[in-house]
Amino acid sequence: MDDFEQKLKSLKLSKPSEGLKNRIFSQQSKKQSLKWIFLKRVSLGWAAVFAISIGLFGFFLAQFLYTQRTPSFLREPSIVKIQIIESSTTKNVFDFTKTSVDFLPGELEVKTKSKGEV
Amino acid sequence: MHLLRNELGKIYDDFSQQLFVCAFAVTGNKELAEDAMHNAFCHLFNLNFVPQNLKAYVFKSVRNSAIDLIRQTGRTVVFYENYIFDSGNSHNPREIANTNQFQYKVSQALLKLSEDEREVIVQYLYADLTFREIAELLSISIGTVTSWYHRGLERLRKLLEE
Repeated sequence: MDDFEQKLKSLKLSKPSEGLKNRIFSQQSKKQSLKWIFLKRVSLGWAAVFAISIGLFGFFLAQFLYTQRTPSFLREPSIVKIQIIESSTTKNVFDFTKTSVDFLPGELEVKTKSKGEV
Repeated sequence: MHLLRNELGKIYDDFSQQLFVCAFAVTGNKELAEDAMHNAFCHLFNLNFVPQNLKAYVFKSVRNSAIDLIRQTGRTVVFYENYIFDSGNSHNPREIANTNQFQYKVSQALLKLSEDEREVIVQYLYADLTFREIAELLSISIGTVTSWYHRGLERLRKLLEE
């Protein structure tokens, strides 16, 4: 190496910023900790089963949250007792010659039916 | 892969400035040069094998990342006036002025060289790579590297004498 090369070589070079090492190496350690999740190999069958299960669970959860009760097609027919404590009318509600929506105090038995039976 | 991680840490500690200069020589921009180093190391951390010559492989990755970044950003390389050099830390104003003037002249002269000549000179003089390592890095023969280097150096000498 001659004098000219030595003189060129003696010039002071730009340096990378202080934080670059941290930026490279600390980010990598965070990535490494999550890496196994993405690198884990599973068979296509298991992935499909998992996806379908998640889908069904989501569907039922949405239905439940929407109606706040069991989905209609899963509901068993049952007999429900309704107690009318206070009548909304003084009319004779046993007069079936007219349509009425009024009820006397007392109890009514109502049988619920599933959607298919109606 | 912890072994590779430790090795890469050591290479970073020993050659960070040379790697930075290599990337800087391609990008002409400090921020892009740092991004290139970052991308290259992220790629290296995910290697499934340990390269035979890790140092050469790291230099090659950083250079390739720098070229990729230039292509991706679609940037025209606009080199800094002072190219790869830093302002000196001397306390003598006359010395600072002289150094800055010489650095500026060298920067301008380097920018007048061909891309190949400039890169080989920067890698040989400032990244401390041997001709063989540069040949591996650029995937060319040693003969071509030495020829580019000497031709570039002569042109540089003439440009600085003008």
